Amino acid sequence: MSELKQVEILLVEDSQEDAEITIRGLQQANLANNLVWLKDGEEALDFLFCRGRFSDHADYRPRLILLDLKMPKMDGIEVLKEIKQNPQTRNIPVVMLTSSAEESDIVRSYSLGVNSYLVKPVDFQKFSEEIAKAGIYWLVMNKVPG
Amino acid sequence: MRLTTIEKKVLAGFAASLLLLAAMAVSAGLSIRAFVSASRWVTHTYDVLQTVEAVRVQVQASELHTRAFILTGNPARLDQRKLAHDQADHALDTLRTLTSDNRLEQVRLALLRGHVMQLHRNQQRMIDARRQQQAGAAAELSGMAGTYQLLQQIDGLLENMEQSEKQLLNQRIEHARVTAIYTVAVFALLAVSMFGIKLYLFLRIKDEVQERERMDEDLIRAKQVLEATNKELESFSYSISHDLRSPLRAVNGFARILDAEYGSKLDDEGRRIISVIVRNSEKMSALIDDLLAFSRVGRDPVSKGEVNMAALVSKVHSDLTTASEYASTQFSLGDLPNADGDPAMLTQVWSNLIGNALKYSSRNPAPEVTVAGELRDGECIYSVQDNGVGFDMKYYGKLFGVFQRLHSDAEYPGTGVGLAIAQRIVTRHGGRIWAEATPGQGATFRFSLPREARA
Repeated sequence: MSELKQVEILLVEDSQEDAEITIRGLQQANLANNLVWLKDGEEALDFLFCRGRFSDHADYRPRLILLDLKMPKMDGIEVLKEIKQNPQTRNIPVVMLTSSAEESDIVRSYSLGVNSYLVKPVDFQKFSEEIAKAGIYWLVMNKVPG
Repeated sequence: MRLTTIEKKVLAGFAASLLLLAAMAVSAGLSIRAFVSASRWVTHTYDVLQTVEAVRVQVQASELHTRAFILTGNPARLDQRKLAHDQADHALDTLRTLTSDNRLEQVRLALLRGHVMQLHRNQQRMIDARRQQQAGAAAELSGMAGTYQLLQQIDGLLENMEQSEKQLLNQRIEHARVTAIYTVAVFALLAVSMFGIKLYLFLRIKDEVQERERMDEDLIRAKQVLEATNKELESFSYSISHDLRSPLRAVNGFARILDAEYGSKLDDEGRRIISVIVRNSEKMSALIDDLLAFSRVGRDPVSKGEVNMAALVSKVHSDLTTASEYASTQFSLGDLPNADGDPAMLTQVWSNLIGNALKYSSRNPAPEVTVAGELRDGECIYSVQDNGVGFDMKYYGKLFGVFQRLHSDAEYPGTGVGLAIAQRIVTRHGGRIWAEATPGQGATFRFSLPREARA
C-alpha cells in the first residue's frame, strides 16, 4: 500500500474533477507518486492527527498540504487554522488552492499562517504548470526544520 | 437661484412682516403728530384764555383808577389808569395775533377794541370834568349813560371769546381722541396680522422640518436596503467566481486530457471539436473574470492620491507591448498632468483604453497610438487616439455598455467589459469619459478627472 510509504502530498479537495485535474497536473511533473487525496476537512484532520478511521495508522505526516478553500462541513480556512495551531503540524507547508481571488479570503489565510495561495486557472495547461511549479518549489527547493 | 416652496413662503412671509412693520411705523408717526398738534392747540387755547382774562382785568383796573381819581383827585391814579389802559391795549394786540386765523374772533376783537376805546373816551371826559368842577359833579358824571353798558358789553364779548375758545379746544381734544382710537385699532390689526404671518411661517417650517426628518429616515432605510443588496451582490459574485469556474475548469481540463490521451485515435474533425470546447471554456472564463472585475470596480473604495500619469502610461504601454504582436505599433506620449486618483484603478483605465487602441489599430499597416493630456477648466483631460478601424457613431450609445461590442469576436477578440470598467472607474473619480470615431479612420477616447485644490 502506498500509504505505508512516506506520504509526500496531502490533497484536500471536495470536487472529484478538480482533484483529478490537480493530480494529473502533479503527475506531469512526476510528483504524484506518494499522494493522498481526501474529500473533506474533517477527514484531513483525522488523517493528520491519527484520529477516526486513521486512528490505528502510523504517523503519516505529509511534506506538503494542498488545501481547497471551499468545502462542505469544515472549509479550508478552518483546517488551516487547526494545522497551524498544532505544534506537530505547524511546520508543514500549506498551499491554498481556490477558484476565487477574494481579497478577504487571502487576508484571512495569511493571518492564519498559510505558506502560499494559488488561484486555480480555468485553463488546464496553465493550471498544470502552476501546480507543478508549486509542487517542485515546496517539495524540492524549500527547506523545512528537520 | 432656484427656491424651494418653503423658501418662497418664508421670504414672502418676512416681506409681508416688514411691510406691516413699516405700516405700523407710519401710523405711529401720524398718531404722534396728531397728539403733538392737539397739545399745541391746548397750549394755544390757554394762551388765548389768559390774554382774555388780562384784557378784562386791565379794563376793570382802568375804570377803577378813573373812579378813584374822581373821588380823591389824586393825580397818581391817572398814571395808574394810563398804565392799565396801555396794558389792555397790548393784551388786545396779543389777542389779535393769537386769533389771526379765526374770522369770528377778529370781528369780536374789532368790536371789543371799539368798546374799550369808547370807554377810554368816557373816562377821559369824566377826568376832564373832575379837573374843572367839583368832585360831586364828577361823581354824577361817573354814572353817565353808557359806561355801565360798555363794561357789560366788554364783559359779554370776552365771555363769548372764552366760550368759543373752550369749544374749539373740546373739538380738538375729541379729534385727538378719535385719532388715538383709530391708531390703536390699526396697531392692533397690524399686530394681529403679523402674529398670523409668523404663526403660519412657524407651522410651515415645523412641517418642513418634520418632512425632512421623515425623508432622512427614508434615506437611511434606503441606504440600509442598498447595503444589504450590495452584500448580496458581493456573495453573488463570490459564488460566480468560485462555483462557475470550478465546472468550467473541469470542462477545459478534461477536454485537454481527452486531446492529450485520445487525440491520436480521433480524426481532424474530432480534434477540431475538442479545440472548440477548450476555446469556449476559456472565453467563458475570461467573461467571468471581466464581470468580476467590473463588479469589484463598483465595490472597492477609491483611495485617492497624486498619481504620476506619465509614468503610469509608460508602464501600461510597456506591459502591453513587450514581446507582443503590438510591439511594432508607433506610440507617442505627450505631456500628461498628474492626476488625483486611485493608482490601481487608473492603471486599469489606461490599460483598457491603450489595449483597445492597440487592438483596433492592429490591422492598419502602420498603426499609431497617441496618448496626450491637458489641464482645462480645473480638469485634467486625457486622450488616447488610434488610426484603427474606428466605429460608427450611431452605435455610440452601446459603446460603454457591459458585454456590448461593436466588432465581431472573430475580427477583434474581447469580452465587451473593458470600456464599461473604464467608465465606472472614471465616474467614481467624479470624471467623464467620451469618444469620437469615424469608421476606418480611427477613434479617440477622452476622459476627464477633476483636479482637487491643493494647499
